[in-house]
Amino acid sequence: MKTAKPENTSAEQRLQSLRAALLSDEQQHVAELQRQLDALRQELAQQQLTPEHLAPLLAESLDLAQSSEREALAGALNAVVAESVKESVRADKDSFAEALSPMIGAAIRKAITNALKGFNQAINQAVEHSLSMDGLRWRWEAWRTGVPYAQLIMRHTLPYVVEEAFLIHNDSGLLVAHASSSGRSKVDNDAVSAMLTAIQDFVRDSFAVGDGQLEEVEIGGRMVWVINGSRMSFAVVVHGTPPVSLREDMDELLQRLHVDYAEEISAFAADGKMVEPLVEELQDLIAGSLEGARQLQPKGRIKSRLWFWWLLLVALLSFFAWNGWQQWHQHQQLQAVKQQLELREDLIVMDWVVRGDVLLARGLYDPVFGIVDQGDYLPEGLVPEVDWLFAPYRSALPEAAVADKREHWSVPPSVDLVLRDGRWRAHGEASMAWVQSMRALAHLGLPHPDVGLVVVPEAELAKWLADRLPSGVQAKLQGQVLQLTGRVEMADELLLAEELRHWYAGNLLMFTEVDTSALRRVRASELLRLGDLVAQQDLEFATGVVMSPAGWASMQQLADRLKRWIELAADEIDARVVLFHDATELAARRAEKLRGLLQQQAVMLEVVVQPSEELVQSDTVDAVGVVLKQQPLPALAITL
Amino acid sequence: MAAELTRKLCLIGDFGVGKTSLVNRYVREIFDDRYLTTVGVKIDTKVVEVNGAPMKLVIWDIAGTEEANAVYRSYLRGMAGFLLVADGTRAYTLDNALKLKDSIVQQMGDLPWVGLLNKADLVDEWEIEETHPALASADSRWIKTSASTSANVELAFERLASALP
Ligand SMILES: Nc1nc2c(ncn2[C@@H]2O[C@H](COP(=O)(O)OP(=O)(O)O)[C@@H](O)[C@H]2O)c(=O)[nH]1
Ligand SMILES: [Mg+2]
Repeated sequence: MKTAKPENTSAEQRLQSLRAALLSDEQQHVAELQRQLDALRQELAQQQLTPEHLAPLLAESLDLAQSSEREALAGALNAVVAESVKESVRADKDSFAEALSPMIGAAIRKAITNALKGFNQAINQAVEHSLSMDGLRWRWEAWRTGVPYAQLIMRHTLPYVVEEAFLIHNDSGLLVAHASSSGRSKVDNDAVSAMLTAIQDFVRDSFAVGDGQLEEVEIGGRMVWVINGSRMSFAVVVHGTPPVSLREDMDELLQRLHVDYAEEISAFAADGKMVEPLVEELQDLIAGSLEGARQLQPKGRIKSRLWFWWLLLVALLSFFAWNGWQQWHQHQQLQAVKQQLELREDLIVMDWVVRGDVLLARGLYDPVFGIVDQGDYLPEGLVPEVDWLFAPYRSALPEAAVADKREHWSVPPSVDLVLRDGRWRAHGEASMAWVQSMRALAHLGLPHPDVGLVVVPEAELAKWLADRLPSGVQAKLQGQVLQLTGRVEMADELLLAEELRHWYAGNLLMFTEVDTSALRRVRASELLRLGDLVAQQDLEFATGVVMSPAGWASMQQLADRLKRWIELAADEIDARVVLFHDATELAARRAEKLRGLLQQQAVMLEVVVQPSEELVQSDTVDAVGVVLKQQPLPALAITL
Repeated sequence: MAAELTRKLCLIGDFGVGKTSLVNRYVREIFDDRYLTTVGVKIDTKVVEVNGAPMKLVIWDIAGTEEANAVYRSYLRGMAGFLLVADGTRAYTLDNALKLKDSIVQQMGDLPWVGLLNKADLVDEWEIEETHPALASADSRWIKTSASTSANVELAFERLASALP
């Protein structure tokens, strides 16, 4: 048994050495392969793949994936492409937009069409239920012409007519040419043209908005559009709703006219003669608009859509313009308020900001001079919210200030100046001019003393007033009230009112109120006219003291006129009617009769009957004279 | 309307000398007086005959005389001539008018003008002597007028109209 075991071991060893002898080459080869494979693995893991390796394969592999794994590929690329588009837009907008615009244009057109459809439907619905005559007529028209109902409505509600066109010479405001849709216009075009120019000047210079010009005025359903050119301006009065393109047309036309008629415009500056060919140009413009309003051809289809968009645009633009203007205006107002505050010596504005709707103002004030009340400064509604903080501080002003202020305000020696409750007050007598200059300071919101207690020498005030009041009107100052007495012609009363307005506007008033209740209005011209009528009155007697029917009616009229005359003359005139008669007894009786009748008619006059030598002795014996006796008017002696 | 000559002219002078009253005497009113207080100017027109031909005067009545004021200057722009108005009962208005005239002539050239010494009806209060240098010369351009009685109002306007270029 012993021998078998060693035999086994030796057999194994032998097989081993035989294998080595037979397979040594193969084994080395396998080990080599194994090593190379490991190296390759390592290389891949380290991504040492170069573009050069990949390039030839990329197209091929995408092609392959496209056909076999389409969805996966698209998903994988999607995010990458989106990001890269964004990047390229950032880098170069223009060429990108160029490339896209055909597509975007189409997209916008589509959106517009959809929106218009919606708009049309909305109108359709809105009007569908209305059975107004217009609605029915338009339906008929829509059926007849084949134009959609909604568009007809737009066309009928949106047309316009240029009613008047003015070409205005900029320098003088004179009219270079004018045309009107109705042939002759009722107004004075030269005056309108000049007034438009004046208002333009006024707007430009008063609001100082740079070269901002008045471009549109709305007057009772009419719009006045103004286009400014270098030598002429163009104004049209438009009825209805003009498209914005009209303004462009006008702009273009105005420019062309400047070029085509350069010589005529120069000639106009010299001779002021309306330029006929220009009138024709304007007539063409008007005729064009009339045609537009009437046209009902199907091509209006596109036009009416454009209408809507133009209108929308105008609405938006004017909204933004208005908004912008408001903000600018608010800014200006706030700036003005701030300046006023900064002028005050008793006040230090430290911080002033507008944040959105809130105004934040902070600073210091000296309470000796009174409290700073925001209400004094800020116009109502200027800013919805105000954070207005002025902390008290003590300035070194008061004592030394009196001398200072006296000098600053040129206070005359006759006036005392004191600081009380934080306000400067002046007492004493001073000239009108000084008081007015102090009032002017107040008016401007500048520091000023209270001059309510300053007295102006009576003679000076009287002279000042006399210079300004119509003759016949006297004025007397009773405290703060100016009392006007005397007589004023009705016509002058308007002028007096204008005068008073001027005083208020200039804040020149020494008084807070003007009392005109004691002012008597007279109507000299009306009185004279009535006097004339009375003079022409015929009174006819039938027989004796019996009046004829015509005489009776005439007497009634006479009574009415006398009553009116008395009413007008009021207590102005010492009115007295004297009936004169000639020497005959019949005439005396007739005069007496007339007196009775007039008194029955309640002519509250002293009626005196007396014989007159002045009256011509006539053949007939029934002459009666009437004299209206009063002071300022010449007496009338009339034979009835 | 046949083409006619139009000319712009302005009334110039202190407040209260009677400019508005003079125009109102001369023309039929077109615009309300309110324009004077709001816009500071009021415009009227009148057709006159000059050498047999019609001429339309576009008359600008301007409130205020602040020469430095931009609006005032733009209102004067393009005028062919002007009426200078003073109040005979207040001598200083004549001096002011002459000063205004000088500054206008300096800025706008030698425009034709006619002077109106207004309120001639107020004889008792008259303050301007015949020997005043502006009036004494033989070729004085000043005329005594009264808007109250209409005296010489038409004459003054027409004299200016016929002097216009
Ligand atoms: N007595 C008189 N008063 C006049 C005359 N002209 C104007 N007035 C008065 O003077 C005042 C001022 O006149 P207005 O025409 O307003 O002057 P403007 O400021 O120059 O326009 C008014 O009360 C007129 O009634 C005139 O010729 N005679
Ligand atoms: Mg006036």
